[in-house]
Amino acid sequence: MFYLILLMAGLGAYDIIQMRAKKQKKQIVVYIVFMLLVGIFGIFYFSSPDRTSFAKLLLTIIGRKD
Amino acid sequence: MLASTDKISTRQAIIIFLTAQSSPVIRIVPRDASKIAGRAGWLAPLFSVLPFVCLVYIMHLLFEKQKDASLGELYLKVFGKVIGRVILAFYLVWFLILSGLYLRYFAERFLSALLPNTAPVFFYFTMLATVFYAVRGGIVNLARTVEYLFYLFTVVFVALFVLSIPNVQGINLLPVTQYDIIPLIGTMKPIFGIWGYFSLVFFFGDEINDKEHIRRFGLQGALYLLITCIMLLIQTIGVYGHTVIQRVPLPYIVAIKSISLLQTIERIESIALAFWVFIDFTVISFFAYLVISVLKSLLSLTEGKNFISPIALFAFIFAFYLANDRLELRQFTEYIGLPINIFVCFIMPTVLLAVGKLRKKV
Repeated sequence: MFYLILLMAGLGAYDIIQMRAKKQKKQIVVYIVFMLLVGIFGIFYFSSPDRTSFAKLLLTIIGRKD
Repeated sequence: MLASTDKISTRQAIIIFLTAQSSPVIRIVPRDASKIAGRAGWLAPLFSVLPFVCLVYIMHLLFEKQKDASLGELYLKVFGKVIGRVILAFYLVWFLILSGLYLRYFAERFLSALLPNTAPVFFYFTMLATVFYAVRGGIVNLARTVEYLFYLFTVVFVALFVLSIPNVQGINLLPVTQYDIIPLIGTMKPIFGIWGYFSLVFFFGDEINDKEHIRRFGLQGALYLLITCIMLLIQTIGVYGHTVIQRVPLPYIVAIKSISLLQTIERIESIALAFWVFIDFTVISFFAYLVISVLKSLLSLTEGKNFISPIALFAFIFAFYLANDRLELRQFTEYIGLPINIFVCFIMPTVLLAVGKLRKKV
């Protein structure tokens, strides 16, 4: 998880610098929100990788889990 | 009117689609067609090509007067900003899921066919690094790369088919009777669930130049799909029979393994796997680019190439979270993936065209 956050920070900084140079304020806001959501998802998954998978969850909901 | 150089042609867009659909078709269709239609499974593409041709005409009618629009913009125009945005948000989520799904399938193929003791992180990371670099380069560079490799892939695919012909047994493919028609209709779900990706290409329709040629290149694409899919099914069902093919995880690789050149050159499945990497790269890049295109339409952004970073990171995490094992992955594709694909790729554009014509917006 540490390496993932490090990668996110690195890529985020690189992209934001590029977008700032082009004065893309709206893009920066959307980008930060998107990256934060991905970060939260990463923490959610890697904090407990053995949790019920997405496929199992959906298959159980639609009653197709064998 | 001069064509813009920062856009791709309709021909290139359809080549991207043809390449992207190859990976799921090779993985899913032989197994599902032999499971549903048995010995007659090799005729399955004949039934799916009809709705595909309808889809080509739907896209042609949608873009007949809207030559510079993208599919996302048309949803907003026809359904209005609120409903249009809800639809686009659904597409966005689905494309994010598919990018993770195809990344997982890419790793699973290597884990089951070639390198069983390797950590999946290695496959995820190498593929995403390539996709990251390609998508940042823009659609023009991606389309050119895919175009060259598409021809190479087709040559290799045809060559491997020709080399498989001596192993094909007529008893595995014939007889076919009128009683096979109903099961063959059932094969439309797996095949058309993938061929429907044709309509998704037009989410980056604002970056496609000559949309007046959708019908022409679309119908040529239909012919290519029909021929290559029948070849694929003859090569798999014809060599091992439908009872074996519906039980093996990678039927195409199993069929390729049977090739023996003059009884000296064998085990050439590594060539097929190498090209499978390329088509996996195309399908993952395709969905990553679709996410960017939908984001641009949804939030009225001017540029989106930087968004490949969070998309790639999402795909990386989601590929782990998606399924615990191959069975879940397969069930997800069969019960959720393919029906949703038909809904978003065929039903939604049809509704869009109907509502658009009624409201005189397209």
